[in-house]
Amino acid sequence: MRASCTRPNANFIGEHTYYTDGSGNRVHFGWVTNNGNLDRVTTTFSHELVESCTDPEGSAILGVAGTCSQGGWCEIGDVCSSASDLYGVTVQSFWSENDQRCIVPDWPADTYPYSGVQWTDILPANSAASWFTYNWPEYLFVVWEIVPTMPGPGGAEVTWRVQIERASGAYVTYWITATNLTNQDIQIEGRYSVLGH
Amino acid sequence: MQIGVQFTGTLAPNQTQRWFTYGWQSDWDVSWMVVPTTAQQGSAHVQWDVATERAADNSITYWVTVQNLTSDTFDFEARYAILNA
Repeated sequence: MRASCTRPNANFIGEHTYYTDGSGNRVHFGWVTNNGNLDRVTTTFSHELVESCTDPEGSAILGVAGTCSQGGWCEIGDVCSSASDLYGVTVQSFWSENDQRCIVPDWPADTYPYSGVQWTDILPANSAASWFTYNWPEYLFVVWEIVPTMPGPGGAEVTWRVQIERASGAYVTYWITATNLTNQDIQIEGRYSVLGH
Repeated sequence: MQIGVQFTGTLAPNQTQRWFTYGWQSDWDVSWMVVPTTAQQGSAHVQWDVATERAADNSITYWVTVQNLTSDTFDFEARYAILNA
């Protein structure tokens, strides 16, 4: 905050809010004070940033009444107070409903791509079957493949289709339907490849 | 590997619609994925098909057909992964 600016409340060290301009547009903004301590500035900034994303106008993701000790909007940063170092920057934790605790998340230290077998099963002759697999982080780019595990030369044996359910903000469920094109039962495995995020 | 969101869209209940995106290098190996951004539990929401058009010697157009499998409107994003970029 510039020295020429004044705080609406002398007790505030940061805030995010919005106003409506002359054309009716909602303008979202935030500010933090600078007391000369960089860790405090980044802690406050990260607090306001995450709240501005999840509750830009005080009407989105809010805490249960009474969980905040302060007045005004009770948001996901307000119920937490701990701070952590994230790649050399001090940031404040925020409440995660999935984890039921205050967290400082980071991208997983995965090395992409990686792959594996999610399931195996028997696919009866001339029939189709569906499987679902859940709790996949939504940010992952995952491709699926169905492969017979026993040799069956002579023609195509199996086709598949992938469908997606957005089960929550954080996770997707994959629904994979495979069709056996042959007149023999075949054992299959459902393989995934995580390409990245 | 290069991954990104090429476009976003909205589909009405049970609607199927096709989008195209052009100017992709012909020597790229591109995989597509359509992910709903509107959460709704219970069943699969979306499926998609991809068709290609060789628009020029060095250019591919991708036609992505997206189908809403539900009786609700939802938003989605179409993601690409260039496997050899």
